[in-house]
Amino acid sequence: MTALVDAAVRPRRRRSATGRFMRRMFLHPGALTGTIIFAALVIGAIVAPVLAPYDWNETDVGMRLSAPSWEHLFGTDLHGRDIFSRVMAGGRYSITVGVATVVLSLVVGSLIGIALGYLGGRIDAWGTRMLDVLLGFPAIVVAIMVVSVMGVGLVNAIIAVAIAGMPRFARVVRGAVLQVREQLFVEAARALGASDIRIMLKHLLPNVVPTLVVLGTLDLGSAILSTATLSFLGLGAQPPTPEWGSMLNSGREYMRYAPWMMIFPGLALFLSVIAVNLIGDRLSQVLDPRSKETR
Amino acid sequence: MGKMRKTKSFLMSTAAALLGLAALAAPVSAQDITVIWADDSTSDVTFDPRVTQSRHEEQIIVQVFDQLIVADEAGKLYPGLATSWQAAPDGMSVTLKLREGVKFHDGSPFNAEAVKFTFDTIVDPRTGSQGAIDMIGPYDGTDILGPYEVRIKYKRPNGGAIDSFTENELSIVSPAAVQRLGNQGFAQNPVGTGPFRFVSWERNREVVLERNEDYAWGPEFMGKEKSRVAKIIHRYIPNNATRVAALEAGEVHVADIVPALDTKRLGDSGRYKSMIGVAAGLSFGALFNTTRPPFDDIRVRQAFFHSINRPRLAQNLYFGLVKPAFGPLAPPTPAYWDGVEKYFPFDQAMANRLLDEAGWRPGPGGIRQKDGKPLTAYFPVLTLPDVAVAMQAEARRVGFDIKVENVLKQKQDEVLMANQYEMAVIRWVSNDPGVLAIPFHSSNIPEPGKFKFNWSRIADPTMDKMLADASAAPTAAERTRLYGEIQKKIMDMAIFLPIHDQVQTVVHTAQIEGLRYSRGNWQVRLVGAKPAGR
Repeated sequence: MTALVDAAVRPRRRRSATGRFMRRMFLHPGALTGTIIFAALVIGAIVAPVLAPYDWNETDVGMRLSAPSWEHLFGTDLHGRDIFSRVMAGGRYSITVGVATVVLSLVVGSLIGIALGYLGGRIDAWGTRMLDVLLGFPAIVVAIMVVSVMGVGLVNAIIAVAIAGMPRFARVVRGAVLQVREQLFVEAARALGASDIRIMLKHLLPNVVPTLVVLGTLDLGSAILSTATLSFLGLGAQPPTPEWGSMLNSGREYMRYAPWMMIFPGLALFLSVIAVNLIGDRLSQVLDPRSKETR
Repeated sequence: MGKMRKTKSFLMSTAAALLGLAALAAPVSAQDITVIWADDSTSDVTFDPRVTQSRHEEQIIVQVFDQLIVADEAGKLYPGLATSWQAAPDGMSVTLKLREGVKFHDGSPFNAEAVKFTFDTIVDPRTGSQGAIDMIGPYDGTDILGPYEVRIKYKRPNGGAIDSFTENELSIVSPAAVQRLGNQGFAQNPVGTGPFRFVSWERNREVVLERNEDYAWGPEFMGKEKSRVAKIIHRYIPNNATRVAALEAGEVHVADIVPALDTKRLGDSGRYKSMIGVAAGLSFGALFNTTRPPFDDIRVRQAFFHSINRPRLAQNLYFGLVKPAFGPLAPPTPAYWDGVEKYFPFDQAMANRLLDEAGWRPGPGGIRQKDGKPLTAYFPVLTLPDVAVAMQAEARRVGFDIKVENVLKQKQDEVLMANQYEMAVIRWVSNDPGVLAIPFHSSNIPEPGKFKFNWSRIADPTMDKMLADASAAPTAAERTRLYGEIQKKIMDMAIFLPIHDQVQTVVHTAQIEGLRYSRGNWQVRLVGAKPAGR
């Protein structure tokens, strides 16, 4: 009897906010699949130096263009390099580059967005116009333009794709800031004498973080793809770097004879992009304040 | 059902009738064929032989123009627009008798005036000659000895004069057309005496040529028959895979620069014929910057040379279609010296010893170092990235860390002019051993604003003098001897690593035959093309 009363009276155990978030996030089949795939690729990239069956830059011309076999799971390329090891190691470049690109365009884009949204007036009008102009070009065209000015290379490719992706962040953040800016707590902060910088960083930024997280994740896929595209065009990673895009490029000529040179790096790209998109999709549902709690 | 059968039989009889018609028509159409050529570039800007420096443009020029003397694939000389020629014993002039009854496509006559006009305008700076100006040598003027006889004079002895008249760049142009159209107009609308006349040019898409119905002065080795080719369509398809696909789909009859594996596969299929031409000129090879470490030390260069297994590299990258190169000049080039073949065999032990001697000690990650600095070299690459990757991997085995960067033309030119590189690859199609001056004469060291090709940056007075002497050799034999010595010197200095022959891989449908390389084994003369077996 007492036990029964106890149970009724004891307040329901509250799960922590993080716990709830994690549960909603990862008990979803899509997000879970995405996370597992992405984790596998990342872990593969991290352990590649230790666990890859071959040194990914070691050539063995006797084995060139061999088809997948137990010895070489994904086959070998023109120089006899093991494609499985190269795809594994490729994550070190492709994924890192994607993340670095997104972080860069996110930081720069949101700073610009906050500044424009908060300051308003003429600065906002001109700045937004400039962003619109940048948005008018396809991102990859902007990126190619930037690379042709700065020169090829992985670091420059990161900067190029980041510049190309930046206007979208700036635009979204500016929109979010416009909504928040008129709220009472901002006015209160201003009344208390907070500086513009302080208001932007301490009061506005935290309010747009969920938006940024979702946007950043969704953008990661296209960032990985864009940098791979630049490498595919020979403007990004330089030999012998096993970046997936440049592997695709070097396989192009031999597609008919050694399709595995393109299939496996292509598959890695495909999987990584679909994984981050699955995660991003769920993240946007979970972080959307309007969404009802479902399961 | 009945109706359907009727329809079917009607269709079949129509088809049979059409086939019958086609069979009747076949002999007629076999007389005249159209040849569609797929070119690997879209870079053409001029078809003026006096101006061009581009192998792509010359593919058109070789159809539209004739040369005074014509060489077959083996380099044997035949009368072209000149019926006979005689070099002066001192090498200061050549006298040529010209063919009579030859007309340009615009109807104006070919004669001594046309030869003088062509050569005089080549050396006129207003023409802006890029290739011909180097090939014409120390040209001093043309004396007209008669309507069909000229004497070409030189400021210095020119042992290469007769050879030079076979070059596409020294083709004879119509003075009337140049005067009427101006140099700019002529570049877009070339007028020669060749087997095909120029019809139209749609930039980046195609050039159309039509048979010159009057053509009866082709060189002897081409036969006296009238060309069966009524029309040439020259398409631009820069993407390798697309060009091969177009060939296999029957959209084009001939494709150039076909990738090695495709050349092999198509040639083996029996439905296509491959023509592999070893181009004359500079071998495809690497120049080493002698003004910057680490390659300012000859031992380091020699070590690098010994670390590359060139026969294996050529075999692996080109599946046996391309031979390794051993000297700065490719074997088909006049004055090729075969002593180069003994230099720099693959020898890793030797490479390691040379690097040890030069003070480069094994360091972390297998990369050698000296005074704490790693043995690295920056290698900007514009063409053939796979060769660079293969060399990078081979050199790494003896301790080089070669930083390969695939660059665009503009970046390449920048770093070369600014002297910010350690090595770079070069190739140059030419029929003249004088091509050696282009990468090895001190006047050709690139500097900001001046894009030249002496990328090893050697300024050696002896070399300069040897090059000058060789180009001024009065006789062909003397010329061969002097250029042989130059080739030896280049190898002894270890400034150029020959990698492999440059090959042109032309593949055409087996339905046609009679295509021939022009001299230098790069451009193809289409005048002799005809349906196979007829």
